[in-house]
Amino acid sequence: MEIMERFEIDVRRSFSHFSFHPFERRIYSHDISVLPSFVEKMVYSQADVIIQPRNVEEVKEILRLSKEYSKPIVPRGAATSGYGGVIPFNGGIVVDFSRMNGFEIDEDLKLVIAEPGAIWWDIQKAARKRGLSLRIYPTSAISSTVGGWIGQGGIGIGSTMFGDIKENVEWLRVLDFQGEKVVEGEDLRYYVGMEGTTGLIISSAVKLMDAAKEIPLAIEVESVGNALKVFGKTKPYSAILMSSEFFRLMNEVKGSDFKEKDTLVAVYLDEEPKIEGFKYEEASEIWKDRFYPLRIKKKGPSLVSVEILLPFEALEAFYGEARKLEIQHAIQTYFSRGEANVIVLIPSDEREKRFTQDWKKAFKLLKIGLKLGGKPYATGLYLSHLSKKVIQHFDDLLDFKRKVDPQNLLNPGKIFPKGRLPMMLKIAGLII
Amino acid sequence: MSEANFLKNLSDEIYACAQCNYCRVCPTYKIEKWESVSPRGRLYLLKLMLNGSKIDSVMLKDFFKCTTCGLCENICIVDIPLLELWEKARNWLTKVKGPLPAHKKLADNIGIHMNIYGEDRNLRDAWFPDNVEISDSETLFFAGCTASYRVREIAESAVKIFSRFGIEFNYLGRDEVCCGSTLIRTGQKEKAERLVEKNIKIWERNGIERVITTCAGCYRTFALDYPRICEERGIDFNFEILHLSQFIEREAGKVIKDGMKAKLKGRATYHDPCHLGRHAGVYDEPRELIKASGLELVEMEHSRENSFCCGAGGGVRAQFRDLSLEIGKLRLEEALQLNVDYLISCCPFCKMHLSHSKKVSGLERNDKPEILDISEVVLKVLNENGF
Ligand code: SF4
Ligand code: SF4
Repeated sequence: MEIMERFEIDVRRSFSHFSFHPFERRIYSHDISVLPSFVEKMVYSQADVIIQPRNVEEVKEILRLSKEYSKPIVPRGAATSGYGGVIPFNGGIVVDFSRMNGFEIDEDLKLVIAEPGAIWWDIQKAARKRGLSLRIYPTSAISSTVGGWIGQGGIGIGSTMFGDIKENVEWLRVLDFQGEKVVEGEDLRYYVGMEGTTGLIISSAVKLMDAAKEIPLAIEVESVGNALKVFGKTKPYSAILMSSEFFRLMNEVKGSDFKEKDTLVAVYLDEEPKIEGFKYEEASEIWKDRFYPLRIKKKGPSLVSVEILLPFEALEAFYGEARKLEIQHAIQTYFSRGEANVIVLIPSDEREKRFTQDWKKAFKLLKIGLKLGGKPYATGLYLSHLSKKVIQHFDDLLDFKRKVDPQNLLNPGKIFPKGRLPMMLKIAGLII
Repeated sequence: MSEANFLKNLSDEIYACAQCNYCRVCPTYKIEKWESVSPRGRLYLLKLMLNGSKIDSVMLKDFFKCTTCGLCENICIVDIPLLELWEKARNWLTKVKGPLPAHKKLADNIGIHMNIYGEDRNLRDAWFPDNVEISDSETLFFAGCTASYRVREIAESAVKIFSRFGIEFNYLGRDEVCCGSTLIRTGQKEKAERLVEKNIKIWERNGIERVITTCAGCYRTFALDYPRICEERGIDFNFEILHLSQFIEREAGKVIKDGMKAKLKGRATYHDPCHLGRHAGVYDEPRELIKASGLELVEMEHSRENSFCCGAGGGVRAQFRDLSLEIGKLRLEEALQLNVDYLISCCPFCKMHLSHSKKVSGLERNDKPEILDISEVVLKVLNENGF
């Protein structure tokens, strides 16, 4: 019997929720990113099967099958990221965690213990009913998963006060080929932001806070430096700098009437600080819109984007460069403690030639960001050739990866460059 | 027309999808949990087809696992007109691939018997109470297939309410013809167009100026689809279309609220039928009537624009019975959480399906909540007052 046949029989015997259907495999082989078609052709590969485990035992069985048949494992949350982290670049088993979406709230310890497929906003709603709240969450919280964001790493709403997701995880339970581990403290760095390349997260304890009244203020700022001063002085819970161009595009797609000025949207908990300057009445509406930056895709219908983590002192220079681009774009900057995530969104049209040109400009911005001491928000599949340069303690992480996954079956090609693809993507980056 | 050519016209909408998955609220996706049946999955499928992929029978079926509830459109971050898109795509897929078996059966039933259930046309008016008068009024009561054959208490309550208030109305009895809603929703618009012409001819022949119906599906079809189809076909459409809840609220809401001293007791919640609420924007009148009856109205987690479908629409009950009942159970669970005495809706199809879901959930007929239509609630309060 062919290996693939035996594999299929084993999957059918062991699981109740799986799909070998060609379209389903196709749909589970992409994320929200759309790249120029010649790049997509380079990275395109299709999963062999999609499995939706219901419990830890089934995840263990997936690991067993992976080892037996040398099939890569690609964990998947809501696939709302755009770095190719969930793309089964070498085929294999896509593990869709949507059926492992339970969570429990520990009111005494102020923690939520969540399965990987739990949705951030479902947790937030439940926490609020108990007088608690998430400390941080991603702007995609309405649909994105706990496992997905922890795997991807990064900063979000609330990071100005509480830092990145790693700082907000108490412990993780992970599975690898050796078995189950509980990870906490310094060791979290081997898993948070590692895209499942070192183990599969099966449970996470995420820190909560007492629910507080959110007071959003929108303050017109003359410069990035000005914005930094305001939030440096007032210590907001969350701070986002939105460019005048962002509001212009929003007004166009929403029919809203936001002032088209660079604006710092700062949210305070319980107490409103005394700030000199102009405060918008629409602050609450802008704050409500924090989940919908992608609305401007309506202008496209496609969107080219680049996300860069920059030190505060590099922001002014970066904005200057971005504004020199002769192209319609919008910038949103999320402030964390000590660094900021700058997102540049460029409405485009993947059906037209200009799409490649727009990507070229986005790459140019990424390079400028790198020169200014920044790093890509994530490296995933597409930017794995940069991992060694931009990820702290990369060699240590690589040693760890080799130890726990000697056959490189856990999400191969992500974070840790593999084969010729990183080189090809690097070249593609130069071309476009 | 080839797949790619037809889809080119919808290209802007298809490409606009951000794949954000905020539309995970979709009732079908909630039950089946596979992306192929989620709104973003369907859009991705259309995109693949636009680029030359062929749809197979499995994906074709998945494409029709949609109740056309419109919740995805309500939530979509880039405002894709998803309902229209689903309907256009279904219509085109049906033309190319033929209707799904259960949907074909609906069309066959209508072709022969003028009702979706394949019931004897001569029994369409069997529900009509003896002691109620029909006049040649320009106001027509349109019962629809489901209230005529399956949930007759709704049609009966409606005409009794008219009679108690002395409202003159016409009723076409055996000459009443299916509105065509299920055909439009299941991609068989061309077949529905024949019914549009037929109905309009009968109404004109009888001097009808206003049509009142208890069915949310008929209401949506008459109020939104008929004018559109008539415009496309160059036919005049000069009828006022009202749902019973709108008509009663307008004509008798005040009397029920202030004039009826004996009030109903208990807690109730209201299920917005998708076709009446999200599709047509009728949210307040049924609620006003429930409050006027004396019942305490409490809202479910999903209500008004965010209401959750009962699971029956879009041909899903006909073709995918288990899925539709699972969705119905989810809706019922929301009502159960509120510990209400009554779950009230404004549509015979919703009542039939929620009652069926209640039964398969293992709840007895007398277990709470009792599932009622707004017409029954209004009649109850009239009875309480000896009106
Ligand atoms: S209309 Fe309703 S059932 Fe259909 S895709 Fe949208 S949310 Fe799902
Ligand atoms: S909400 Fe709209 S944009 Fe987002 S995935 Fe669904 S259909 Fe696409």
